Amino acid sequence: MFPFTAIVGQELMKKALILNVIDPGIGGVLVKGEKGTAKSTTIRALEQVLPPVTHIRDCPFRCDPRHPEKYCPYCTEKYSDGKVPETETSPMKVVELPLSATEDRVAGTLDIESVLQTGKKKFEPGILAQANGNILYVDEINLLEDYIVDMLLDSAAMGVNYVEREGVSFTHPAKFVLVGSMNPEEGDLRPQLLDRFGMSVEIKGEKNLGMRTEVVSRRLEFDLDPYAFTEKYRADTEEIRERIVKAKSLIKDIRTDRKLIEAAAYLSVYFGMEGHRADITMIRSARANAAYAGRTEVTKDDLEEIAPLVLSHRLKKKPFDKTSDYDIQDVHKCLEDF
Amino acid sequence: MSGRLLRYPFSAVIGERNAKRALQCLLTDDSLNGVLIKGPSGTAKSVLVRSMAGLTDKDIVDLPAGAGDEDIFGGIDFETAVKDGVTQLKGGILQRAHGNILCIDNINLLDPKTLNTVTECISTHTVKIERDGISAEYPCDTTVVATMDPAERELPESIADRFDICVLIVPDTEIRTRSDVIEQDLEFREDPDAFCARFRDEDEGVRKNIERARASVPSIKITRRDINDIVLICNKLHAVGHRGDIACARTARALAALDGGEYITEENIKEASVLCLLHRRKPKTIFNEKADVFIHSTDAEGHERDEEPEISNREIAELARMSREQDKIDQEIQDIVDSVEVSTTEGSDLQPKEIEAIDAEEESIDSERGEIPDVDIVTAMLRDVRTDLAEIDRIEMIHLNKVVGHIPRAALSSDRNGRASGYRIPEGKTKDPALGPTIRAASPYQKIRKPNGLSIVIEPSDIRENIRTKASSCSFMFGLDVSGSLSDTGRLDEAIKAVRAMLEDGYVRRDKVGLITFGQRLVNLAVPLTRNVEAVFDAIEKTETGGSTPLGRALLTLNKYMNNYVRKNPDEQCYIILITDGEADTAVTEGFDAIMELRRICATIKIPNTEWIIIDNGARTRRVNYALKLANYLGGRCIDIRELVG
Repeated sequence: MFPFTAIVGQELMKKALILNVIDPGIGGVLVKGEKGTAKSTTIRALEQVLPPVTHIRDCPFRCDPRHPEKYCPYCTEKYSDGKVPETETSPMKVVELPLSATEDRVAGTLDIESVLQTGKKKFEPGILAQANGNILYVDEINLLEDYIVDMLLDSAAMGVNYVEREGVSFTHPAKFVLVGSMNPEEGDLRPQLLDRFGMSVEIKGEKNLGMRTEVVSRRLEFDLDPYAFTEKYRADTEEIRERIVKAKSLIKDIRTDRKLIEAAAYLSVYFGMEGHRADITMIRSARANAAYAGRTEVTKDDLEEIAPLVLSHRLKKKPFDKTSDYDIQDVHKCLEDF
Repeated sequence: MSGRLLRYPFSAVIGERNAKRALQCLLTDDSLNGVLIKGPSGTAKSVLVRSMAGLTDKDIVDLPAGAGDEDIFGGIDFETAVKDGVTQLKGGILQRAHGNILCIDNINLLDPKTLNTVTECISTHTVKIERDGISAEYPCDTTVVATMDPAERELPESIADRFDICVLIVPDTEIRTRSDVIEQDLEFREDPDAFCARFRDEDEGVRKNIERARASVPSIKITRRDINDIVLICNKLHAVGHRGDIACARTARALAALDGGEYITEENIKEASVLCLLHRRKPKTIFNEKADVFIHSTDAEGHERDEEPEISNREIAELARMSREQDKIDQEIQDIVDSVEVSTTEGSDLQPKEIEAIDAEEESIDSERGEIPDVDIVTAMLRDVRTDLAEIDRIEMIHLNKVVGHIPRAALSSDRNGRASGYRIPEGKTKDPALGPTIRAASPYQKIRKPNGLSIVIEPSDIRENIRTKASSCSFMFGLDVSGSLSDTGRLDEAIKAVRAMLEDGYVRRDKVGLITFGQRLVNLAVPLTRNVEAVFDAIEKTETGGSTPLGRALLTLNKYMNNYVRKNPDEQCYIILITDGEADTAVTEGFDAIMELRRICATIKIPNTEWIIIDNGARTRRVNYALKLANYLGGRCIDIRELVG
């Protein structure tokens, strides 16, 4: 796998992904860009910097032992007598959802084998179960059937997958960071779905000649000897992972002051946001940004840095109006004014 | 969203007064039929609905978007079938909703057929099942709360009308309250338990108040004066049908009870009107902000009314006269009562008991408010209601379905793609067996079949296959007349406005769109059918306008292109939307009269699965309506652009 740290440029996308790992409450990332701009490579490579998580051993949903109230039905039953569950630690993963996935594969369905052998109904977990506690990546999400996208976003927002089909009724935790990528030339997502993504990044191929050369040479080097190449970047990768782990523990202690919250609300109102998701996401992202930098204080600069990630896909432009009513460049001015 | 684990306290939801009042009314009076909450995404619709759990002992039962008919209505209990060989009903979501609150998120995205059946069950309070060899029914008495984002898709009016109350959540623009929302969300997610504890007392207060109000509802009388006021307001706001009147009366009563009143006040009626009439006004789409001001209309007696249909003394006098005669109003009330579906819950409707109360009232006319509505008071009330409604109202877009009528959004799929919406007995061998239904079909016979080491034996006759539906996208080919006769008179701008509005709709739904322009002696296939809606918009901006109208050639080009397209995409429903004044002036064959020739061209045009819609963009004053003629030649419909743009 191509090393995360060896990817040239695309800093914004990397930042967005990392912030989401630090605080999954941010609500996922949508990556828009033409083909061949390292969308998938970067997202898959993210796995290398993901922190390890502790979960209950042998649980298909990898329940979090710290939150008994959020256990899956199996764990709830197994540990109802107050037994302390055995735990194990494994790294977070990037789980991919193939475009051809059907509803039952995504959400889970009736376990036919069990029915045929025992005559009892049993739930067979789907991709959402695998995704619990991980990153769920959907390439070309704009081509996915709408109802499946709805389902993904619902689970991502609530942290729960609620299945009601084939006569089985089942609820299990499904808390994951949804990462979608798409090529806007093939049509856009419904605007209402856009709002459900915490962040979006629009990426372009590098224009700078020097950078382009670097992209090509690194790729060639990697193909020639992947092992040596990866080794070269191991230290960098390790460093980022350390930073993420640190930020994750740091973020709990970060308080956001009222002034900053008001600034976020001001931005939202200025940019014509209707719902409250943008406001909340901005604050969470700014906090994660501060934590990533190793600070316990969130500043206006954090807000300014992440605001475009949160706001740009939610701008109430007329879909076809290139001259949108608002310019994302106004963020700075707006914060100055405030 | 289904917030089953996170339960935000009702009192912690900031703002959204109307929605909160509506939900409290619903819990106060069981005879109220449902609340519909509309609002843009991210405005805490679902959160608010789920928070009702803290106010009532009833359960909140979710109807998730992915649920199939089997799950919603119920079917064979297959475990008993296997074990005992008995076919027995196992109820679905609706059975669990009995006596509880049924919550439907994104109701507008539900399959329309399923939605119709669900509303039918709810209004008849019974679920009837005829499937899997089971014939059964069970009661379903439930209160429905639904949410939707109107920007996604509108709900059919007939369904919306089933909801007594409809509120629209208006986005908050106060920095202070928005900041409060952020802070609370952070606190809630950090420590849900501590957060909920903070609001426990307040929620308990609301709960107690609802309980008290429930007890006092029967003692609050709906007086004849109240009904008169309500009927007048409903009438003036052009509320369709009688459900609005009844809903207003009941809601006003519930509000009075919640406020601790002993009788219904003008405030109650005003508030109730805003809650109950938002979705019932007609005409609401065409006149936009001036929603209820109608330009010209004729009342029952055939008198022409003026612009602003305020209440006149004459009408009041009329009402007074009717009131004296009694029979007319009695008839009105009778109509109202008759139109209510017979309900199985006791005393849940505006029923004889209430009418008796009204009759008793007659003897001693309400001392505070006379029986006859007062002109000034009702006019003032009406004005307030209008202002409130106008505040809620937003300018509606021109929707494609207004132009092309009902657009089928789901088509049977011939391959294994699409979502399973049902099952059937296959003809011959199937490639797409429906496992669940197959096992269910086999289950009753297990007692008599020989087990081959398996628990369930399936025979070929048990096998069922999936019926799959695909959310079908439609294709819209726009033909835009950009000739001089339009661009010089500014009517082209109107046309572009209309196309843009329709494109936005297509953008939302991810339909395919294309564009052909004609003018400047040129027919230009600017954008072949594509999902990239923005391309069409860009093309429109770049189009050169002016010159003559080669309408005939445009039709021939469309014919050729669309026939090819339909051959490659036989499953797709296509629409050609021509925006033109129909005045062809350049013939395909030189020397022919362009308009005469048009008729002959039209006769040769034949495109399968495709409908023609002509949007007439012609001048108001003209001798011949060529656009209408063109529509007739093509066998399509003709719509006046002014009807769309408003």
